[in-house]
Amino acid sequence: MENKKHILVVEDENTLALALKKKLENAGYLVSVSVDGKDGLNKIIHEKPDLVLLDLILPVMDGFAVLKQLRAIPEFEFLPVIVLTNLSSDEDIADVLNAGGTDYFIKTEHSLDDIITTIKNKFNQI
Amino acid sequence: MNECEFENPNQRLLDIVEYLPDATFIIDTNHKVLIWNKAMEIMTGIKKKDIIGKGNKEYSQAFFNKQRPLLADLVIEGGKNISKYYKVYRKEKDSYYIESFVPKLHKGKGAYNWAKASILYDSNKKIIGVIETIRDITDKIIVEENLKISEKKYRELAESLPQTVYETDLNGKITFINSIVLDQFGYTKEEVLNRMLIFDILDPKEKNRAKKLFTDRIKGKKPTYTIFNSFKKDGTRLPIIVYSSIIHDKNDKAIGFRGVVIDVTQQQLYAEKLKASEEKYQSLFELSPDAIGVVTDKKFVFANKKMLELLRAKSFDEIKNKDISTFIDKASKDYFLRKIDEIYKTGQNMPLVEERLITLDKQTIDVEVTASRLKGIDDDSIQIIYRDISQSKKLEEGLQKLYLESSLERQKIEVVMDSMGDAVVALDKQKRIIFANPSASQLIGETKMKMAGKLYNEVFKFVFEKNTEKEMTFIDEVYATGKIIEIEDQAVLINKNNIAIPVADSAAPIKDHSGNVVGCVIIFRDVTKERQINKVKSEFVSVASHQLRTPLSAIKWFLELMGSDTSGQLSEDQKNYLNQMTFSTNRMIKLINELLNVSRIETGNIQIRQKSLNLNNFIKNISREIMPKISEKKQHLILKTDKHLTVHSDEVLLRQVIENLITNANRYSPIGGRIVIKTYKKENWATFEIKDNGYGIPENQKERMFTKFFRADNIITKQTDGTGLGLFVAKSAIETLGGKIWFESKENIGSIFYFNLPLNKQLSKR
Repeated sequence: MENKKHILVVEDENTLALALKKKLENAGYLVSVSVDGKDGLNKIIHEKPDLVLLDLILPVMDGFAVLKQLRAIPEFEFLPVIVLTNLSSDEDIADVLNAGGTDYFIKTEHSLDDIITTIKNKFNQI
Repeated sequence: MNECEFENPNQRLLDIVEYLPDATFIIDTNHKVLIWNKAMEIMTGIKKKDIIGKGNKEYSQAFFNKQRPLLADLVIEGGKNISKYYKVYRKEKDSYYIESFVPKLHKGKGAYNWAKASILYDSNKKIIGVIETIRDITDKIIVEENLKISEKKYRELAESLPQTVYETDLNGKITFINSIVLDQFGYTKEEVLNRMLIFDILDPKEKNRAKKLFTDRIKGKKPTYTIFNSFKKDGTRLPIIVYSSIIHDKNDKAIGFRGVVIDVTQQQLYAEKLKASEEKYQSLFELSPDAIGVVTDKKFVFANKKMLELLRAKSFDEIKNKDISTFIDKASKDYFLRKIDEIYKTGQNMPLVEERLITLDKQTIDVEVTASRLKGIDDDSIQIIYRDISQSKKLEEGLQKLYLESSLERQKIEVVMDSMGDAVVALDKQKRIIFANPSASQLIGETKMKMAGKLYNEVFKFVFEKNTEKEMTFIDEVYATGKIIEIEDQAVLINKNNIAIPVADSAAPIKDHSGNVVGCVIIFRDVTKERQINKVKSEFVSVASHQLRTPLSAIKWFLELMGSDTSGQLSEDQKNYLNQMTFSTNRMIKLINELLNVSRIETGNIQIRQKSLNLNNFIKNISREIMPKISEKKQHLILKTDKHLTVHSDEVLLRQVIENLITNANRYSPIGGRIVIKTYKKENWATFEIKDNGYGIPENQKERMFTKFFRADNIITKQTDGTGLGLFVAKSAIETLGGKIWFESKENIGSIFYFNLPLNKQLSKR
């Protein structure tokens, strides 16, 4: 049980957060959820998750700001942050990657299985 | 007469006489014609065979209107009656000479004849007949008469001038001279009298000619007066005419000459000038584009070539002696003749009038006429000038008609143009503004008057909305291609005041009859509002579709969770329902994605990342993804792609295009259809071609194929699975990549869609 990887889901949309939580727990991960950016950042700092699934459009503080502040802390420089969003423009993708996003998923384009596969790959790399 | 004896010499004589150039005939002592030569036939028109052996009665008819003796007849009778018929005759030995007018020759025109008749003897000195030779000297007579007239003229001139009067002996030695010689030649009487010959004042080269004239005079020849060059004492040249008459003594013996020397310097100059001016006048006549005629007593005495052409005369003879009024239309004949009379009376020129001429071949021609009296040359003559205005008259009438018609048309067009909401600007061949309606003036910010004549790009220009530095070239393209070009959604007008106004515009060529582009009409309208609405719309679509994506992803993911093993066992029906829901959700996602694409394209929110793509592999990959759908309809996808063709392009955009085209071919072809994809290099372009044997596109809808949300009538009923955005996106994408997309299609037979991409990297960067 101690070996369970901890994943933080930062998602303001309850239904999506629920679906992700369900899927991740089914896949054997420890999941905590944050519904705004600021809370998310706090949880990362205090809970130190192994991986973060981050939405971009969030209340209080948006995903870009979370990424930037997070990367500014040396401890979290290499924390895998997978951005899950429905913003799909080229600029958005570029901005995310520039801000330090590890990966980028457009929610409608990917199944939960795709996401699990990617997460597994990330952990295997680490 | 012994005929046998006469035969041979007669034959010889006949041969000789036949070919004499002069008309010659021989009569015998019984006044019967023995010989009548060829020249005689020509002169009289009577053939040998009709006259040989005939008598005076017959042959005198050839010359005169009634019977009378000819010279030959008079001679054979011994010549005693010649003086009855000929006032002047000359006799030399057995020959008689006369000159006379013979009325019947030359078909009644008459001729002056010189004739010589001589008695013919046989070897025994017995008279056998008379030979008469006749020569037509009409020309000579006319020349002489003219000469007489001119001599008279000169003599008259001489009378009015101071003259040197002289007398000489037969050798020409001056025996008398009047004092005018000093004025004229600078010699004193003393220097001249008994010291000089009259010939000494002449140019030495002309002395002999002068001497001969003097000796001829003594011989009884008629005097001729010609101009001699003489020299004054000081050596200056003086043209003179020397008149002379013979001085006789009491016994009527010639003892010398008496005459006058007339200075003809003035006359010569005058004559030269006259000649020069005449020549000038003559050449002006002939060179003149107008028809010029000189009329004396209302009859043409001269006409230049143009006049002959105008009256359709082949030669001057055809109009000579014809009354000029015969060439004037009845309607104005009286007026014309009255005017001519006035010219005679008043000497004033006839004002320019229009007349209708009647030509020799009875055609009517409109002319302008001027007439004036020829002053100083011949007071009886009037110069008439006709100018053919039939062409210009026709033109004038035509123009008038055209003007009336066109001004009506113009008014109509102007009313329409003025009330048009769209701006209309017309350019000429040099792209200068020739017309602008009020809407155009308003948009351009310049009055019609101030714009007119200026090059359009000095006043306004069209630039790309996304890059206002870049000027549009569609107007140049119209001039180059002669085709109509429309620009809907990217043009911005930069007007006179540098204000940018979004416009939709089109430009159409103005062509002449031969299809050459001679101008261009630009029509444009302010689409600021439309553009704003579009922008808002795009933004709305962008936001809305983004908002839609969230619940859709929730549905998608929960459907996925529901279908997964961890959610418990589902019945077959439930699984089936779940599949249907997943399918619909995915469709909705796709629709939203396409809407987003459209919105992005429309707002220009696309970034191009070019890289080398092997078209063959690229197409294979895309095909593999679509294969399930193709297999589903049991269709055949055949790739005939160039394995080495590589383009430098944007993967995402190009994928979208190819995906859309293959999906369309799959969608709009029946089960078992055949889809063929080809790629090939054509010049500097990589061309992609996809052919299906599907439903095809109805003719009347082809134009709208690439417009947003368009779906052809014939497939809406067959296929509900389509957004109407695929081809719009494909076109926008291909154009963004610097290529072109087009198609050929026939309903119920199939379609071929093509696109090409530039192989040159430079070209593909826009």
